[in-house]
Amino acid sequence: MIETRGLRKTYGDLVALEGLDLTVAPGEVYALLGPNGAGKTTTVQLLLGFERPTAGSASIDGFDATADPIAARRRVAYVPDQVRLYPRFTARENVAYLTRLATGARPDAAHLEEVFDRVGLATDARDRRVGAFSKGMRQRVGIAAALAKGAAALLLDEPTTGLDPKASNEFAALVRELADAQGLAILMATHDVFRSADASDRIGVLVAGRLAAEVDAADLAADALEQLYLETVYERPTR
Amino acid sequence: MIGVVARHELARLIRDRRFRVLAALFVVLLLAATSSAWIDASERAEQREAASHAVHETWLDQGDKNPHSATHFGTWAFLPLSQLSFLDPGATAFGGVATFVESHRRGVRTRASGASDPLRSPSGLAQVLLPLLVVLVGFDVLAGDRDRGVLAHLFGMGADPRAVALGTTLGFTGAVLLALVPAALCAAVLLVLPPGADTLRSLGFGAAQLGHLVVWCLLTAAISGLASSARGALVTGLGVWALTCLLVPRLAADHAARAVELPSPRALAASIEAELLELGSAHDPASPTYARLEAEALREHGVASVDELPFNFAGWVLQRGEEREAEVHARAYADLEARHERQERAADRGGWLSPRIPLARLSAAFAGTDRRHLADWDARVEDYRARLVRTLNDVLTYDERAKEPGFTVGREVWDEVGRPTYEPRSAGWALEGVRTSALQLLVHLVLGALLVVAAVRRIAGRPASTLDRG
Repeated sequence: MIETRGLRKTYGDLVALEGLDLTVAPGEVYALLGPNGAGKTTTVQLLLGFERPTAGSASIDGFDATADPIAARRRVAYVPDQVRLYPRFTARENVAYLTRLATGARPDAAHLEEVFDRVGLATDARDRRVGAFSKGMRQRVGIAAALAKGAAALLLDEPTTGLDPKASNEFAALVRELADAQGLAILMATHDVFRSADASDRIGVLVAGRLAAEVDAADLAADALEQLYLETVYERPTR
Repeated sequence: MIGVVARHELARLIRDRRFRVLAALFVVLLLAATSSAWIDASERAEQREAASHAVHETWLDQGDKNPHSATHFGTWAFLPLSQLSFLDPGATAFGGVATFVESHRRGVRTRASGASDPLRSPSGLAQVLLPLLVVLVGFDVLAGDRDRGVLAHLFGMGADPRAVALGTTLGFTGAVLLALVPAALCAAVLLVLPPGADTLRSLGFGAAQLGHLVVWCLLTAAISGLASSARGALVTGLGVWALTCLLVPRLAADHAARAVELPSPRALAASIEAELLELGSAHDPASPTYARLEAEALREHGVASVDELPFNFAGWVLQRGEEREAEVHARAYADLEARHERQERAADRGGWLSPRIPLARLSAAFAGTDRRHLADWDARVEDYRARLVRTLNDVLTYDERAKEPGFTVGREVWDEVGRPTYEPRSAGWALEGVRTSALQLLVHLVLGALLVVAAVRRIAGRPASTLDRG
């Protein structure tokens, strides 16, 4: 489970996040939408314990991200918008290394194959150096590392930025499957309204650090979601 | 976990083309300098041995003559260079290697032709070029990963930031050391295999080089961790290199030269000459000094004339005069040596800022080419000179035939003098003279480690400094 309670972060006079309350249950995908500067990445940083909140709390699977950031991070897998990894190492080497750092144990070779199958990374790509991978392939490697680690939760930061529509759709489908089949709690910080509608269970709209709207994705069609987003962000009716 | 990260970092660097190119470049330079220095040193050793043999033959073949004439004929003593001297020529690059030995005058080492440039020696490369290569290879070991977001990804996956930072530092240090294995093996073969190899000195020399290299690895990794970006780390690293490898040693030497003035060779010779003039000559029967010595001899032996003395007064007075002159020289050179030492200590203060300074001292000390070793050799040559003069003056003093006009001796007497020898000092003796430098290098190691700790704390506290606030 991913949880924030009254999470607040200020930088001097700037209020980056104002009293955020959200919960992402196991098997749930929560899309956190918002324009640049809304506080999405700040939320991710606070959940990872990379920043200390001014007030409130953030936790992963019950572990406070501020009091025990390493324990909290051990229960989550973070996939940044640009999965850089080590370009001169293969996909297999990268995932094995990340898994070993996260869990302390060398991952089983058969388990790695299973994980690569699940994220849809082609067999012939697994022993190629990731320096030559496309962004979509690197995203899959990032997800593979998350699965290989056995994370209970997933934090995705702008996962579809830079992906073509086909790759974005495939990624959204993968995220949905991970939540349904693996029972992961997934928080996805994104601009991508349409993929949010496809992949998510709930959608929150952050504007200037506040959760301005929160809806169940099933209750809205994609175009209605877009309308809601624009009205919430720009505070004016679009029709 | 630190070990896992270290092995990964080692593998990463080995796969990095930039690292391989720079490491290969340095190894080639080092091997070229080492083999060139070894060949040059071997040739010089052969030349010295041949010259030493030749001058000794010349001494033996000088023909029959008065013994005191032979003390003026003189001979040469050649500085025996240690096994490690080819790695670090030290003070021999500036001082001479040959001393003319004769009576009435303390010899000064004269410069041999083709003295090597210390900065082109293997040790010179290690002092100046190697730190630069370490900075160029390692400036982005931590900063680069942070800039690219790799650190944030690792930490977001649950990796311990401290283990990542320490392991990266260790892996980087290991990679640099690994790159030098070929050169180290080459040096080890050249130093350990030949007969009479001084293993302790070689170990001391190697330990100093290794310590200095580790200082630079720690410093580079720390700068990489503390800098705000990879570019900042590179600029800072290059700045620290220029300051500690180039500027501080230069300033320290200049400061020492101003703080402790050394007399010029001409001024020194003039002051000795003035004192000798005041002392008076024991050669000249008309001089007051001669008269005083004569009175002293007559009084000691209770006789009225020199003919009644149980020895040849002509020989005895020459020897007494020689001893008094030697005292004048000894005082002058002791003062000069003390000034040299004070000047060296003044320059050594820069060693608290620059690790190059203590490395240079330790390297030359273990190579047997520092000022202290040369002063020790000079003292042995002076002992040999005293023995040569005494041996020949004793013939004049105690040989019954010496009172006869036209007294000469030949080869059998010249052979008694022998040749100048030098028993190499131990590694412990070498280290005694550079204890402060050893401490300075140790302090730099500790400081480097503390800076790494500071960098680890910074990374652990701000692992994702490149994340934008969105």
